[in-house]
Amino acid sequence: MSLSWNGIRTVADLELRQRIRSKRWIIALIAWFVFIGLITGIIIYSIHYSWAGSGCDPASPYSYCPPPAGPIAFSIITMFVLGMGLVIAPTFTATSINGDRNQSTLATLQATRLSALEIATGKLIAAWLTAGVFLVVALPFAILSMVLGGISAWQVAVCFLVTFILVGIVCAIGLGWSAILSRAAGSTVMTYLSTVVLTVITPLLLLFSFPFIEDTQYTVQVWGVSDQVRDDYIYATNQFWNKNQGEEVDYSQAPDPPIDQCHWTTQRVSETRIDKVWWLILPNPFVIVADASPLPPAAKEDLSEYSDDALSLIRYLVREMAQAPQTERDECLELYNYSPKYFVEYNNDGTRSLSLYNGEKVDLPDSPVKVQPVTARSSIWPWGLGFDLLLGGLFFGIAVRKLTIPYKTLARGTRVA
Amino acid sequence: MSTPDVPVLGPPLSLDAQTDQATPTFVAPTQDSAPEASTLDPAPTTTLPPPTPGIEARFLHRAFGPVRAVDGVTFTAEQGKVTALIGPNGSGKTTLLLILAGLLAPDSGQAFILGHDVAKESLKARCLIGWMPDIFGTWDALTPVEILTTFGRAYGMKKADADARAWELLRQLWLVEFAKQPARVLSRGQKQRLGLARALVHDPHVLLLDEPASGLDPRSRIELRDIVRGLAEQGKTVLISSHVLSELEEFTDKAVFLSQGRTVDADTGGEITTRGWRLAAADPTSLRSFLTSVDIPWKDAPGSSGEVVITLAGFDSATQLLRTAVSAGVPLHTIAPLTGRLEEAYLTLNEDRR
Repeated sequence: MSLSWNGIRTVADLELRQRIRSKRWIIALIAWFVFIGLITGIIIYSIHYSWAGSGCDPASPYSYCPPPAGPIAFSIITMFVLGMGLVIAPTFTATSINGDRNQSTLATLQATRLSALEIATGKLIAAWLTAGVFLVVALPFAILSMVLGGISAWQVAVCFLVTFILVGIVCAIGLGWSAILSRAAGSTVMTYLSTVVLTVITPLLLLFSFPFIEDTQYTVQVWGVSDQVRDDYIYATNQFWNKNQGEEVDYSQAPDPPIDQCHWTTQRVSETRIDKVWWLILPNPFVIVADASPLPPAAKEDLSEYSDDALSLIRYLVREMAQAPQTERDECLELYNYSPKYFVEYNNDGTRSLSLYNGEKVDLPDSPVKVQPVTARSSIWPWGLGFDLLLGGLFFGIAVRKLTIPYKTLARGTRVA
Repeated sequence: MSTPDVPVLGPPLSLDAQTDQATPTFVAPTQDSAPEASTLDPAPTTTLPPPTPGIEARFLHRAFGPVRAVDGVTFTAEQGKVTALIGPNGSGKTTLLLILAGLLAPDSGQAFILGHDVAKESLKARCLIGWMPDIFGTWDALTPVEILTTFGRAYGMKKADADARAWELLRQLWLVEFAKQPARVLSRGQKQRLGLARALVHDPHVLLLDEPASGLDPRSRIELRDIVRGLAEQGKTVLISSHVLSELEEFTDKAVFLSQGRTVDADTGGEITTRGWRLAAADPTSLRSFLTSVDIPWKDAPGSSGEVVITLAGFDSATQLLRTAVSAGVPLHTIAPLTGRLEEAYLTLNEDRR
């Protein structure tokens, strides 16, 4: 099957010309521009307003200053544009093939030199370019969020590129449905349904899968003390409290945690293992864009102290879900929690730090357990995008197959010409 | 390659030489778009042996579920001739044309376009074919020029060539004044002409016209007839399906009858080329002596005074006869083809439909 640039261009040209001629197209584009502009305006204004009221004074070290509003505004605008893009994308292809068939214009094209691959590619490119125009129209508003600070041009570029690819995938799915079903209404519904499956059904599926993973049993290695030692220690601590109920307590007299008796034991635990089903949400376009989006300059690579904007938050949550629970646990360290002598601080990245009752920092005891911080370093979006690309490719392949002549079989209720 | 089985093919060489001998060898297109045609077609028709039929169908079968739409079709359509495909509604005409146009695969049997198997050499065959479907969907928002240019490019022409060809066809089919108007404002007849122009964009050697005359007013029909005859005279193979019998008879050389998906007794139609013509002159005697002098057998028309009936090979023969007769001073005032043969055959088909 041949695929020539001339053939693709001929078909794409024909499609685009028809589309541009209709007034509706221009009206839709203007409405889109105004709509996105309005929403963006509201978002930026409200964020700006609430920031202004936070009483931040950069000169004073004591006043609370929120992070730049740019990332928050940008993330909401990106989500919104992606959502709207997914809503409009099906309209460009969902009736592309069956519509032409019903207007008796498809067969005359098929009878020419054009191959099925050229016709399908031309149609897809025309639809994709149209969707691209809509995205480009929305682009200034995303750039506007850069004014609020904390957003790099790189972020804007990547988010829009990924959105553009995702919208193209939806176009390909629509093209496939329009080749499979003979009625325009049917293929439109199925294309929207496919989009809904990707965006809404995937998180629901994840949610509904929880009962199946609730009591997953697995084995962990625990670095700790025996129950007897532990009970003795707690008893001794309680004794200390009983003896020292006066005003002046000498915390240095409190018993030390019996960390020298720590050893490895094997235990069976039963927990909810989201890491077994998290991938259900992978094909979700919002997750893909959020995960692919570069971090704002203010955020650390492991997201340990940053989840301010929607994109980073989704990214953090999904990557955390994907992380398997640690198979090694440090219960030895827990013993410090009971001690009147020490304070244990939990850090955001999963590590802990220890200080004495007088505020003096002390080193944590040596532990063979390596703390696994909630790292968000590994990207998951290539898998999601890869899956969606395969899905789009599958539907595109169906469209090509259904356009290939001579027809061996005809779908029920369809005519060739 | 004349038709030896017709004994009454009496006209002298001077009358039918052009039709019967020149046409079958007339293969190469003479139009100025010839260079494009050669780039389009990897096997130029000039290398084909002259007797290759434009269309050849052998035992074609095609069923849609339990419905056997085409159920054994065998026929040939020769180059330079207009072949009529006649049959009642639902007899499989459109399905047959779809198979020939390379859109529908036959369940069994073969079809050849100038020797190329439509199933195996689909692209080659498609480049040789101009197919005009019975329903011509238009791209409503586009203008005729754009539609024709698009199709020129779909056949691999360069933009400038496609544009030139589009304008040439618009002139040829009297559509120039609508060239830049959206196709939706065209009347039915104009759309039909545009559909024909679209089928002719790549100067195809074989034309498949599905009901081209349906819905046309008499004037448009005559124009269509002239165009189709002109194409056949250029050496193209024309297969035209219709059930408007009266005018089919006027412009076809041969008929293929379809009934219930089968070609019915293809000989019944036979070569319409040789059919009866009715002549009448102010002076019947001079007409008769003229005919005798040019060696054309004649007989008196039944039930009329002075009219004679002769058999001629096609329109060209009639034209030449007319010219010769007038220059010989015969006061000829009527020359008309005898009608009715197709209709007779058609009604026979309807009978077996029951």
